Amino acid sequence: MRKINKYIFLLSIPAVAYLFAFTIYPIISNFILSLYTQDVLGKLHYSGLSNYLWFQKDPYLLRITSNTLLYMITTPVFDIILAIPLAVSLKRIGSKWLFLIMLPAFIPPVTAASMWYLMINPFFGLAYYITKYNLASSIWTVVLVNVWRSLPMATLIIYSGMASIPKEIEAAASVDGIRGAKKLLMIDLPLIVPQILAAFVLMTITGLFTFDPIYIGTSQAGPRILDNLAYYAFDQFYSGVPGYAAAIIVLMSVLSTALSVVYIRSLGTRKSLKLPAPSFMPSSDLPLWVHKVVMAIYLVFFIVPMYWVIAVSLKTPIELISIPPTLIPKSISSANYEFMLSGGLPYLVTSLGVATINTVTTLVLSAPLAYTMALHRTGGRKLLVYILYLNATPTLIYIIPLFAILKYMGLINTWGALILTYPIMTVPITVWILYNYYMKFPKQLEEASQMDGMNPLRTFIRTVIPLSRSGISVAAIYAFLYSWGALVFPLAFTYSPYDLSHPLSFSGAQTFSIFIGLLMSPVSMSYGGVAAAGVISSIPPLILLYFGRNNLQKIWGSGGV
Amino acid sequence: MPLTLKGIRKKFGKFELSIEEYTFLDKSYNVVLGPSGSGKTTTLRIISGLEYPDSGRIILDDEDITDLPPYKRNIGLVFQNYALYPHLTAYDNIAVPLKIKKMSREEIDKRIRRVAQILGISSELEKYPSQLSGGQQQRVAIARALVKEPKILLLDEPLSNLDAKIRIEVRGFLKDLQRELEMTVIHVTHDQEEAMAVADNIMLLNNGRIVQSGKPTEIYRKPKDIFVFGFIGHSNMLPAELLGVEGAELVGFRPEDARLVRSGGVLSGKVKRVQYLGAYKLVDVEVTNGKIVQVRVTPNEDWKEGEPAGIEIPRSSLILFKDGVSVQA
Repeated sequence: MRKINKYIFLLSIPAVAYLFAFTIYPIISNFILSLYTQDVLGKLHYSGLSNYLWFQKDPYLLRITSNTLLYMITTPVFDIILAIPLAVSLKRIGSKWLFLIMLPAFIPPVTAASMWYLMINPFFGLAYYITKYNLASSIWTVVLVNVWRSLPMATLIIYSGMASIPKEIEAAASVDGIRGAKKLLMIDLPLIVPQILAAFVLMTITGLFTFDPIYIGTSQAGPRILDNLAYYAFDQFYSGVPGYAAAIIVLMSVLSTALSVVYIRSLGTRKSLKLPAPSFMPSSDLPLWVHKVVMAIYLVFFIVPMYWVIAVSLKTPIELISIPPTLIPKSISSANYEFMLSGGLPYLVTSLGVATINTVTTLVLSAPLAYTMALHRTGGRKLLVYILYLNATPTLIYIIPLFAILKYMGLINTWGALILTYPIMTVPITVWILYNYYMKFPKQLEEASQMDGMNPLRTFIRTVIPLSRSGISVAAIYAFLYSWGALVFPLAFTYSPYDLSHPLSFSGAQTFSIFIGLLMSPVSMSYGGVAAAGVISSIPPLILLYFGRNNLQKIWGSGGV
Repeated sequence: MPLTLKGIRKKFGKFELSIEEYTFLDKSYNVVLGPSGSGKTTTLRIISGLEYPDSGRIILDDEDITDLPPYKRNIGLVFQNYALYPHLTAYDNIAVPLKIKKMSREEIDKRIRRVAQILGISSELEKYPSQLSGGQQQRVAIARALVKEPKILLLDEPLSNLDAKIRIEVRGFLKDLQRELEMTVIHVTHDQEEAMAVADNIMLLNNGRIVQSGKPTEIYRKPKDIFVFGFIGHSNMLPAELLGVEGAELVGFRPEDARLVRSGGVLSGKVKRVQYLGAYKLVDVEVTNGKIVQVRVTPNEDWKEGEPAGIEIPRSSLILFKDGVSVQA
């Protein structure tokens, strides 16, 4: 056998070593920790399965489990039911609208949750005009926020499936006189079973690990009302019961592993399904205006919360607490922004700084690995499956061992803690995006570079990077998006805002997501401040979405992310 | 600069390429010929270093280059689809191998101008690949492979992406180029006519094995077995007893070696079909048991479908086969 080329090794080893160290070690360490309990002095004692036995006695566990199941099941069901008509209309009207539909997926999750809780406030929110009930205490609000934010991705996956149906099949159906609803049942849906399945499983995973809406909603609904296993595990860890938290996380890891197996299988499936198409199904295309109306309804659903947060952010403090709430601000004020920035600046600086640094780190790690995986089969199928596995598991499951590592390194509550851990969430997704991108990269150009005397490292720098700017820019957008909206890691590893009076210390590293959560808490409750922060937090990702839309569209159109 | 393959083996699933020992003809035009799936592209990729053999050695100029990666072998390769860098102009494409060698700017320019002149693309150097025709792109690709003055030039199906018309022109050009530069060229193709036209020496592959190698006339006139005989040129194959030949099972001959006669001949039958091909006609004659024999006649000879016809074949142009292998008559 030929030796492993040292340059290919050099290109792939940083990301692989990082991922192994920061994911496999925590999974093992977490399991060991779940066999220990911590005493009041903070010392750990071996206690066998006692943490697991506590599952039976835990008074909250029944409620928490049922919440978990509810989020896990309803989120994908609603997503898929709502995504199919939207994808159909999108295909008919044209993919230019994809950009608008994707907006909610680019709003940071904490901001998305805050938007909805602002809107459903029974006195000051839009809900005043719609219902008498306080929706904030309902667990269905969490589902609603989940669906609002994940529906675009579900639609995108299903739409890209529909868009990839071969033109010849479309033509054959048209010649055979199969159109409209009949075509949907006989041709489109059966052929996109793999995409529907992939979207369903991905949204199930999203539902299972619902975190941000609970974090924001708990302050409105009350303790334990909205909790699921993920939030509960975090809460146990936060309140100093790491052994029990670890046990819950082990349980979640098992669940998520099972789900990710289903997910990976669904990505590989080529199955199609025959659906009954009753003869009374109309076989004519719906008029275009119907599709436009459908699209309009969805856009209202997507855009109203965004409108509301902007409107609220511009109201004067007095107008904010007037009942009934005004639909359009009577006078425009920047007071909320001033207030928000007065306290929020250090958080904003941290979020911007860390997200920018992590975007660069992520690309430096991911792009070479994805290139060697796609063009040199580095790691083979095993590594690919592992990357998919990491994509399908929540970063929450690593927090306890990571906390121990960071504490040992003296990095808790510093930028370093976030810079070191953020790639765990951004490397897998960007490797997956770029791997798919590089699979379509003309292999012969890569080989031509080698024939021209370039080793794989030079080939990567001189040929691959210049020709994959669009793929890399999309990966950069996602890396920034994930880093900017991160919540779990900063919550777990930081406890104070960036110390602007000693900027070079880089200590204090709470992020803007945390700041929004703080503004939302009953103690410091400031609707105007939350709204202004929400608007500010949405600007960077939306700018990226706007400038990257053409490249995003290329990647979205060719099989989705 | 002789190139020798020794004991090369490479497995892909069920397919295995296996070359015991083969030395390419030095400073000549070599063609690796074979049907698709015969292992000719694999052979080329092993020589270039893009593929690594399971076992065996590659010796270039008395140096074992088996373990050298492609970027350390001094071999030029022109890809089937040219693989030009789309983000670079023709000039910059050709400059790449020299820049990698850290050559001075003046030296690079001098070399590019010279190779561009040889290839007749001096006026296209500032264009991007997308602005060039297929033929021009190919010349840029050849220039890029030649500019580093490689020991060997590999051409992967160089004519397959060109229109039928300019194919003949380009193959003449390639041969002239080889003669002018006096270098070793290895040209891979599945097209036997193309191989016959340009080769000084042909390596004929089938199922991962070398079935025959030699000069085009040798391969055409003295095929080692039924496969070679059938693969190269037009051919007729009949059971030996039909022609009264002993010591063989099958007998082959070329359509141009036979003659059609109105009566008599060693074989007789009926004209089944006549194909007019301009310079000559191919006449299909049905002999016993529905067997078809193809005979080449001059365009003036008038044969009609259904007419009886006899076939004469000089004994000396018969090729005899036993157990699928050629035997001396």
